[in-house]
Amino acid sequence: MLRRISSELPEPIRARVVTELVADLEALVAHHRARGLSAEEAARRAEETLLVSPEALQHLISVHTTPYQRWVMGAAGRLRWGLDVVLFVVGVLPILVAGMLVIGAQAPRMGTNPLLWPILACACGIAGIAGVKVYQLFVRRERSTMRLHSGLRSLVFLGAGGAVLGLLAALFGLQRLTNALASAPGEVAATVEIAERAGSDATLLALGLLVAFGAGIVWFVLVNRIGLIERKESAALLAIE
Amino acid sequence: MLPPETQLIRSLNEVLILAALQPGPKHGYQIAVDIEELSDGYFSFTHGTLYPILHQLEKEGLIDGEWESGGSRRRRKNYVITSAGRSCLRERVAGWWELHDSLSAFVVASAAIRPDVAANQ
Repeated sequence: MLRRISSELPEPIRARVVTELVADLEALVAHHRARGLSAEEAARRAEETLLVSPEALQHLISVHTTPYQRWVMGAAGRLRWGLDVVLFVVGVLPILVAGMLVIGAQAPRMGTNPLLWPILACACGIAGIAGVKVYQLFVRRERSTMRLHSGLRSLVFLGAGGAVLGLLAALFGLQRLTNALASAPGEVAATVEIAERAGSDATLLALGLLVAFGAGIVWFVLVNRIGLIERKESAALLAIE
Repeated sequence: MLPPETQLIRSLNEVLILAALQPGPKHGYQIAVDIEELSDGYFSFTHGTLYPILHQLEKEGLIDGEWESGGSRRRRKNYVITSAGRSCLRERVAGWWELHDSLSAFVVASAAIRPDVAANQ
């Protein structure tokens, strides 16, 4: 049961629950022994009272986690070491590369939209966090889950920021287009203007969404990696005890 | 939404724990032992059902969990009832008395429900 607690509760709750449970078990055995019960009977009764049943464990988990955390933990349990990298390389990397190529082709026109730079700043922030996490995970072999978790929320924030800025950029572009059309000299020039500006603004929106998508993927992979490290660490600790 | 009987049992368990903590701080196992002993074994927590309720009450601020620094010993967690917990307990106990009184009055009024009375009729 302690193993189940260790695999299903997130840190730091898991360590607290296991410590509390083990200390209470020891104390309750001592209490029963002081009342004259044999060691076996004292242990049996203490376990019957305090060892958490699967139903109680579910209740305990629901007290300490949000539905979203439970979903993430479940996903981490389904993934295995290496599978996240395969998913990333096969499923995600091609989309990111193709997206960047399309955006690269529109780059000269995108520069006219002032919101391009904040979107690129978000992308740089995400790349920076991803770089730091890759260094922590694979080079430094960091095992402090507190340090590994730090920055993950910034990923989500920057990703959401990128998406919002992309939408704002598209709106801003539409506004500029309307103004340009009003002052366009002829029908053909106006049509060309529409096509070019709509294309560049749509690309900028795509860039914002791509930034959000990239952040989501990096965040998901990191959360899974950290979850797996937590499980391994906890299993090792309980095996020693 | 929980079924009514589950809500009733949960509420009862919460009252038992809050009442057991009224005299002073206790460890989790002590709460379970005291409840069983004070109720002559009528109420007992088994299979770790105590912990989710304790942690829920702690999360709601009705009790505080404090870790004892035990030196070389294993660290233990002590639970203390908070002022919010005391007012909650007062309200819950009043509610239980109201339920008890209403139920008793109803049972007495509808004598057919009482098997001894029904048998004599």
